[in-house]
Amino acid sequence: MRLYINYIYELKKLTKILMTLIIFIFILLILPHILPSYYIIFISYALSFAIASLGFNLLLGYTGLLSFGHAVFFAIGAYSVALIARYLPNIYYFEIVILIALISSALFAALIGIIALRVSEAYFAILMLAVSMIIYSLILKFYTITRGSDGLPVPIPKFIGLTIHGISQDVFIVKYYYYILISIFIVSLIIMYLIVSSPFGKALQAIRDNPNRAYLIGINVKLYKYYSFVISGTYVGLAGSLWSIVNMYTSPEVAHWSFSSDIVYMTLLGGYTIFLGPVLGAIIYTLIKLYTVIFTQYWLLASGIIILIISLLFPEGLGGAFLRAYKFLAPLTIKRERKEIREKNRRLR
Amino acid sequence: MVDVNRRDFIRMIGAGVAGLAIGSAAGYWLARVSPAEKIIEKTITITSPKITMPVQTGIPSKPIELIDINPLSGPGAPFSIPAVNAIKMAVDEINNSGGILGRKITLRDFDENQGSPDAVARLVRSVVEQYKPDLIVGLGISSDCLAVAPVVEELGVITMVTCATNQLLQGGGKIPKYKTVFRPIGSNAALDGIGLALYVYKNFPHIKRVAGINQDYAYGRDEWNFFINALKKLKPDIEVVNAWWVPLGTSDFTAHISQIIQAKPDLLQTSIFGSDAVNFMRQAIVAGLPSKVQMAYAHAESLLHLVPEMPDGIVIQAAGPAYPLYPPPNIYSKNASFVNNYKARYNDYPHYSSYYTYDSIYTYKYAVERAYQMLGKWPDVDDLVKVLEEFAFEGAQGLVYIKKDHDTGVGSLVGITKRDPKYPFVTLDPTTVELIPGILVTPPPGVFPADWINTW
Amino acid sequence: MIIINGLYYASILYLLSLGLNLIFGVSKLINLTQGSFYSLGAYITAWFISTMLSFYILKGNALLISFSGILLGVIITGLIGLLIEKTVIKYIYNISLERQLLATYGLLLIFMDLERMIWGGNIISAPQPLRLLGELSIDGYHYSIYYLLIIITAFSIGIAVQFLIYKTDLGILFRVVSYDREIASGLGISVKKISTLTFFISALLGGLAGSLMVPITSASLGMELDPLILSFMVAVAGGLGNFWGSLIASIIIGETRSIMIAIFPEIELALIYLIVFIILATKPEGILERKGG
Repeated sequence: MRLYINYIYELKKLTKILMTLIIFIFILLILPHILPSYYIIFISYALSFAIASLGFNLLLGYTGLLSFGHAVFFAIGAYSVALIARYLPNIYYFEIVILIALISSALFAALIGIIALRVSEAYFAILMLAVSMIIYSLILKFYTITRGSDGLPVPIPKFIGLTIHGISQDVFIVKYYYYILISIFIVSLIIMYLIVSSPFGKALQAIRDNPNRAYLIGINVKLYKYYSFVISGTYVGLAGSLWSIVNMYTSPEVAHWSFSSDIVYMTLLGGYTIFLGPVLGAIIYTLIKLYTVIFTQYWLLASGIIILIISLLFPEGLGGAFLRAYKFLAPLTIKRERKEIREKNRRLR
Repeated sequence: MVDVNRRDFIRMIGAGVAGLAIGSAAGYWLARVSPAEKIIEKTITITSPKITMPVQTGIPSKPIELIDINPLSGPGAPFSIPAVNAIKMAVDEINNSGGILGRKITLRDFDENQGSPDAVARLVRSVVEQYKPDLIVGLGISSDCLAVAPVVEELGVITMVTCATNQLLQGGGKIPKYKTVFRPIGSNAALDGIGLALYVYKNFPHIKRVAGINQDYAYGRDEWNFFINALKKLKPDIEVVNAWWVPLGTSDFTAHISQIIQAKPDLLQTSIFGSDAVNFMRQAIVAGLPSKVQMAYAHAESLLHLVPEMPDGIVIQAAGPAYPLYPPPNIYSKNASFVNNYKARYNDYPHYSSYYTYDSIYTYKYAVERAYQMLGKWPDVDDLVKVLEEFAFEGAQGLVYIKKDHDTGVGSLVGITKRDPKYPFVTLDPTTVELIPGILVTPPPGVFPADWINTW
Repeated sequence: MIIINGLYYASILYLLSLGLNLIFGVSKLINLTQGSFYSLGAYITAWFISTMLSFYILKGNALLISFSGILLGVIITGLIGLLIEKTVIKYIYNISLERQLLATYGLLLIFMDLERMIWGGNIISAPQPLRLLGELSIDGYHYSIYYLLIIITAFSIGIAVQFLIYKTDLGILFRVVSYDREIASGLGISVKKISTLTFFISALLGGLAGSLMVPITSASLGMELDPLILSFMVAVAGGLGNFWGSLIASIIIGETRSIMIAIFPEIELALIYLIVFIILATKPEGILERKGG
């Protein structure tokens, strides 16, 4: 009887998730027809940040490690694109640069992870901060290569098998790039979902909840942390490369610790205990950052107050509060799974 | 699912809504209650019943949208607040005398200090989308100009910049580099660096060992580059002792200053700009740097106003040609009336940046009027661009002349400080002031100054 | 000399990290708002000195005004700290690390804009104290004695705080609360009062760092970001809660910065962070083992 109920439950859950996904995609696809193009650019920003915070949350929400320097991967992604555009224009194809950005961030994460993961958690956060600031200062100082604080422009990339010319960059983003972003975003979402619902994902959560116990039941804590770190770094690197094309520019600030704190802020804003929380957080963050600046001079104050209130009153972020209110959305919270099954079972007894 | 009872749930949602409401309300409210009200106004509409222009054909009736983007906070602020003051003054003057061909100007101010050049570009994009301006004036930081230029080019908005980088308008082969971007009056790294080099060459022939400290960004790099290469061409035996690079926003130069003193150069050239400049100059004075090393300071007219304890004997390149005492007000009435009006309104002498924005707005006005004369209708962007190239008139600071590459063609003013008790700010000894002509300090249109210097 | 330059910057970092260490040790709070105290102290002092000295009558008492300015900056900052402790901070003590970082970061942003509202975008300079104290001549160049004043002040405050914590009865209370809040309250110690007091002292220290620094660098928006992050590094590298560790770490960082500017100005910033990285990576407990308190 219980097995049968679990099966129905899983099916219901999968259906709900698929439905949400389809609705989500549908909304994203029809938006260009109802909103002015300026908003589409803004959503493109949000999508790239969403990929970043999604990846970041693998490390924070699922593995329990807070890094205050993940901006470094974002910068690696963004600068890979910009530097190739500037110095190797012959290979400046979208497919190629994205691949290179992915590989560079993965490699960098693999390298740094070896050292970074040895330390205790509080120091890990600051260590990552130091790493990102080292890269920040290197980008700043090597003016002759990176143009320092001036930053680098990022033009429209060529595509293998397709050349787009004669249109301005923001038309490019609204007409073509937006859809590329949506597809990459959905793919990353699905991949992340598969990761976190796999045994690997469960193991990460076990590590988060109690590393000692995890170790004792045979989970290779060190290795899994490392994998989680590399995957999250790669995601953020991908996000950085995608972002640089939307932004049409990249500057050293994306490696600065204040941007790392923005990534943390995004993730917490939406709720780091929920799978889609970081996505919601990225959207809200983009809204605040890009919109308030036109309407008020004191956008720092507004952001500060919002951050303060959310960190104090919403431990699970806005996404968490939202989901608590609407129980039928429960299947979207991966984390609560065991509890849900227990609950369901309890109710049936 | 965790059980949440109704009370908690309502409380949470209520708190959340209240929090967001408070946050956004605070932000919105504070936007209207701004203590810097004296330089920030959202709209200026002044009705002047005395003077009415006759209604002319082909002229739109709605007001002209003028956007100004200047650093109102951050390192660039001390140098640009006088600029914004002058913008307001120009707009009021124009509106009070009937506007441009009868159209009044609506002015909106924005803060250029957004954290990074691409954030400024985004701001410009959203502002243009929102307000559809006819003219953008400002952009005093080089990195921001470089990021914004492609945006205003794409969106087709005439932009008059005050930033000082040559990378914006020269190099790359296209003349002009950006159709809609102009620097009608101002300074650029070539004007500053080459002007200073020529002056030093002429007036300090014994200099051999030169050191430089500059900010590490487009302008700083270029200015030092042009200065030292020009000087070396003129005087091949010049030896560079060292060149220090400080990031924008450095506030503590003590270590650098001791190093400079230790190196004992004959001349120190610097182009440090913004509030960093004020810090640098002050720390240098305390350490005794000016008395030990001859200093040559580029783009430094504002320092005359901001650092009252500035000693005598420092070579100052004024940032292009603008300086309140040149052209001498008793000889050139337009300068006199500008200075007097500015003093009456703001209780301060205008800075060089005030001249730039003031004359930029009048450039627009005269260009529009000229275009209307020729075409019989209000000019669109392309018409205006055609008129503005190789355009000249007499502005507050003297001749305003726009070259074919949209950069300024006027000269570079250099002098040596000498305190005159008549004035509240440090002045330049009139016997040492020279206005080096534009043709000697700016390359032919479109040629990047470094390449031009190489051909000397 | 390069050494002195390094030392005065180290002193400022040390004062800031002292505040961070105190509040972390006693209340287990990661307090990014310490940066706001730095800038508040700087702004208040700069504003006071520059305004008072613009009155011709008071020009003769420049020295007195300068010192009052610094004192005023410290005290008012402390009071502001007290105010926010009683209203906001007390809710932040018990939440998780990430949320603490976020909440105090929110406060940092709020203060940044408040400073902007009050004092505007202009920088406020008060360089007078630099000149007033006279100069030392070493190897042919002049050093304002003010720099030495900073070093001496920081050093004495450091000793005073050590004395307070380890040699006084009040210090015992601090230490008990830092070991275990529950036991402390069980022993009848008002943990609330101790937390408030610690935060107050922390704010005083932050304000002092800012006020001392302002004659050199002037008060400007965003001035607190770099010293904040560096003092954070100092506190962590020295071992959170460990005073001697932060002293050593601040000296290392201050001197590195000074030396690097002299030799390799290109990579000065990168090197500082590299050193922190190396320290954290090789000695995860910080430079010295945490001695408790």
